[in-house]
Amino acid sequence: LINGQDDTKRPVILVIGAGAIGRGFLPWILDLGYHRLVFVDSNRDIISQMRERGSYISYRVRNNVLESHRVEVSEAYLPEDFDVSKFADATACFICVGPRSAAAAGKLMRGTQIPLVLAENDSGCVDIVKSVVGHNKVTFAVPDVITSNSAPDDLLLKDTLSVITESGVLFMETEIAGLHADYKALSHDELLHTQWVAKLYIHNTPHCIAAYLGSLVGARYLHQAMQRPRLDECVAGAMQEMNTVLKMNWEIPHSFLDWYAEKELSRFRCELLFDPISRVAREPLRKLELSGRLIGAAQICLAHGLRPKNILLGIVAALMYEKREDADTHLGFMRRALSQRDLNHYILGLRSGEALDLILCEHFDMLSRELNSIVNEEEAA
Amino acid sequence: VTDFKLASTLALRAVTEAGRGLMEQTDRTVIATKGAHRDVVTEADVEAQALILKILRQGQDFPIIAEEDPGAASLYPDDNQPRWFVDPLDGTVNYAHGLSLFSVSAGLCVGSAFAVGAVCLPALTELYFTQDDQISYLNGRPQKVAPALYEKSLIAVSFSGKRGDPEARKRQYQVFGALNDETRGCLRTGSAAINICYVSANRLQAALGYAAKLWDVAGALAVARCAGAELFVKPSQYGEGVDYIVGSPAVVAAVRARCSAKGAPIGHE
Repeated sequence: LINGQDDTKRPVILVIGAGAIGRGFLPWILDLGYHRLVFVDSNRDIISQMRERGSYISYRVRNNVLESHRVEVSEAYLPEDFDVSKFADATACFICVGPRSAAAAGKLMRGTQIPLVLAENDSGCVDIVKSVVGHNKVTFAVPDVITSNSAPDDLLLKDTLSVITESGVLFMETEIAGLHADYKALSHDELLHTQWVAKLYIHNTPHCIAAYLGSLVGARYLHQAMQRPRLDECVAGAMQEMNTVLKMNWEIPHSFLDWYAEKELSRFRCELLFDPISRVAREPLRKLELSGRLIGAAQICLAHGLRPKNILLGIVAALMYEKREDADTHLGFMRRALSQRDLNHYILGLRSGEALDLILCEHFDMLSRELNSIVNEEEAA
Repeated sequence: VTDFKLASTLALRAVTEAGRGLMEQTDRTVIATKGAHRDVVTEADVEAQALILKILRQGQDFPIIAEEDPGAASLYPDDNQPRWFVDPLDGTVNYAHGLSLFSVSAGLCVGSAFAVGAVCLPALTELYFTQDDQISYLNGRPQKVAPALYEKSLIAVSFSGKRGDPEARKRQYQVFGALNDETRGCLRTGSAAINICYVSANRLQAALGYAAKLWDVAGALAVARCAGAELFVKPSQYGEGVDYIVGSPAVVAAVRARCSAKGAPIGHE
């Protein structure tokens, strides 16, 4: 019994991906007095702890105060043990895995008509998942929030599954019947052309730049990177570059973009979030995709006649990111083996002679020297 | 001890730099033939090979067997010595005719094991390579061969540039016909290395080759091996070099059976 009710009779919400968004953010917006949560994740440690303890603590930063909430876990599965037919009448399934794993997550839901909500960062995944599950009830969602997939050591001592999220908003394209949750339904246009664009370029671009710069100075959490004045300046500069070009290119109210940029900077600086650099900086090749948050962002700026100095520094920092445990750890191997020209051409997908290709070929050394001087300055300070 | 990290770094650098040279070459005229209309050489072959050799010699002192100057080395070594096999331009006929299906490849074999490889398709902006002797990538993204069914496969075959025994050639063409009729089709791209790389990227489900020179395929076979493809490679009974089938395991088995049934088996049976 949970809250005096038979847990098994409550409508199920499936959550595939028990990371930052799935484990940290969603429980704060779902009505857990009404729904029960069933998690699926490939991390054996997380799943076995969820099974053993049946709950964990999620923290939320609101108005600079940390609130806590014990989240009850009804059931938890590894993907190989998960049988979706047991949950055919689930209200919804939130897929909270990165774009590289979206198709695999979709496969787990084959053979059902359960509405799916893609809450992880890439609108392009909707069509991929639709083709995998064989139905069209797949909704794109934009979580306007920063959620750490971890917590500071003192909170982890109390509960190793602890995570910290902000008080954010979930924007969804479709309303889902029977879903008791605090979310905001938006039209397709508003979701993709306002919230998604703002999220991709004003949030994601500077967010990962902060992480790559932070990694160079050995910071563990994002707010520690932002405490370095030169890094903060560079991140704010990248945000300003994106803000300027979005105002030129998109019909989004300028006041909304200014508000969004200010809000994001305070999020990055928030000392209560403990957002790990390793989470934000992971898979740099994905972040360096042609239409993504770094290369794509720089291309938009260049197309509008703006040379995005800070974003360029972010690209160079991303190319230098090398962590043994990261899925894209071979980036360092490729950078050492290939000339800049061939790296641009074969790995980043740039066309020979286009503006960004020329800038990286001609100025990579200068940009890395500038980056090194920022790092040295911060280390000396 | 073979330094696979250094070898894969040099292979990658060598094929991309040579690939760039091929693209910059404006004169693609055939300057020589090697005993068959299809076995041709251009100026670009010779220049690309010189560049590759220069780069590979920056590493450990292994023998280098390259298409335009193979020396007297065995084409199917049976000792455990590391050797480079280099093809500065596979698909020279395509290249000379302005088609995009040509490649540059370098592969390090340790004895008969295909350890390290890099294959560059400069006109298609594709770069297949292994990191050390472990992981296979296409343009930096890992690739893994998926299971496949013979009937739903797309296959490619390559034949030796030299005709050899006319009867054996006839039987090989019968295999080609059978594969073409029984599957989604059988291609002949003009580059054995590209066929094998396409297997590693799951574009093709198998590649079959008769009497291939090791410089044609060594780099690509290492790439395919690291992508999890099944490799069935035997000393050729039709000429110098090797016969091979590479691909998804079930498809390799089915192709092998067709080869035997048509009297053109892979290796001695």
